[in-house]
Amino acid sequence: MLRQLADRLKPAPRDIVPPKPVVSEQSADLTHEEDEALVARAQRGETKAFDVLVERYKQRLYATVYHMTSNHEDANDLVQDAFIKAYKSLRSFKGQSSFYTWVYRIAVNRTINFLKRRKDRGHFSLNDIDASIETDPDYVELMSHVTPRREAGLTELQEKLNEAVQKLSEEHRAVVIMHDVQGMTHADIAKVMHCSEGTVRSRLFYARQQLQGLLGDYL
Amino acid sequence: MKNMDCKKAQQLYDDMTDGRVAEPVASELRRHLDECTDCRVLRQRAGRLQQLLALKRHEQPPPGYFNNFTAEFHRCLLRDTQRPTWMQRIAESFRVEVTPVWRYALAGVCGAALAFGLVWKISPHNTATVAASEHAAPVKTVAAATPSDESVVVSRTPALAVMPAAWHPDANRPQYVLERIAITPASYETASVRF
Repeated sequence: MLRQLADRLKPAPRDIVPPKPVVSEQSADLTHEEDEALVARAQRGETKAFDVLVERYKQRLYATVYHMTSNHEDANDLVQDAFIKAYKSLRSFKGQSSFYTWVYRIAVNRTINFLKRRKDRGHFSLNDIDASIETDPDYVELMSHVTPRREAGLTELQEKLNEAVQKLSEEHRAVVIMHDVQGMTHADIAKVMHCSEGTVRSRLFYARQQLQGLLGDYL
Repeated sequence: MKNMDCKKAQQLYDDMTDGRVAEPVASELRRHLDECTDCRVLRQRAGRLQQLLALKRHEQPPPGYFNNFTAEFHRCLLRDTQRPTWMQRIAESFRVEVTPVWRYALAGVCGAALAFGLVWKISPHNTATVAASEHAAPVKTVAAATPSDESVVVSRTPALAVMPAAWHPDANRPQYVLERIAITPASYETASVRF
């Protein structure tokens, strides 16, 4: 009787909850996380989270800036600069647009300012054309319409194309590159450029008209 | 009216390519392109231009170009954070960098200025200037050179002390050179003895 009473008064053994493993910042796989979560982490000071965002968008930003400047060294510097600006302004990012739109806007604005300051428009530093162009349906179709006047080498065509694009105003160039090269929609371009879709359409229309005049021999 | 339709068709064609135009409008647009040769030619040229521009996608950096991008980003970020702010830069621009070379130069300039001042002080040109200035303002010079009883009286009178020098009662009184000499000429004394 007394033993039963003593057994009852004994404290019941608690369920042992194993401590949660402490996931270090280094080991956490952040590459699968959404942009919003990564931005929140970066705003708390996790630089690794921002690194993932840099890794995710560096090539797309580089491509846009490169096509706007036709100079791969300038493009590299401007994209680095845009990411630095984004990192320093991260606390002011409220999430009203996606991180991609926001950083894209920073990069495009900085590129437009850079191009307005740059006086030498003809200083090209072009990337090489990859071999996959030979199988590109657009290229194959263009080459099927070749006339004697258009029998230009690929390098010459690339230079002519870049020369023509560099003759556009900075805003028109940005819209053409984002739409016709990068394949962005009017709505996305409007968000990046902070203007209406009508303005984007209008800029695209006039930029194409100008390019048709400049590249008439190749059309 | 036809021009208006052509303009609208040109504007809508992009949206139709992106699949953003509803079917009734899209079929109307296709019909317009079939009927209007001008628009058809323009669309063909625009289509070729887009194909040409799309070729720019094949301009690619060499493989491995982005391998060090993040590390380079961190280096740039570190450099950027260590860069002084514009306030610091302004403060820095006002600060005089005193290196040993500057110290010697500064000491040399001070010595030269001192020597020049001494030469200026003892040069005859300087004394001539002082004489000229005495001639220009005789009252002030006499008062400073010989503190006579008259000058003491002037300074003790408050009403006269605040008056401009030109308004002073003695201002128009002629000044003589002999008044500034404290001793009486010896020739007069000897003459008085003889008499």
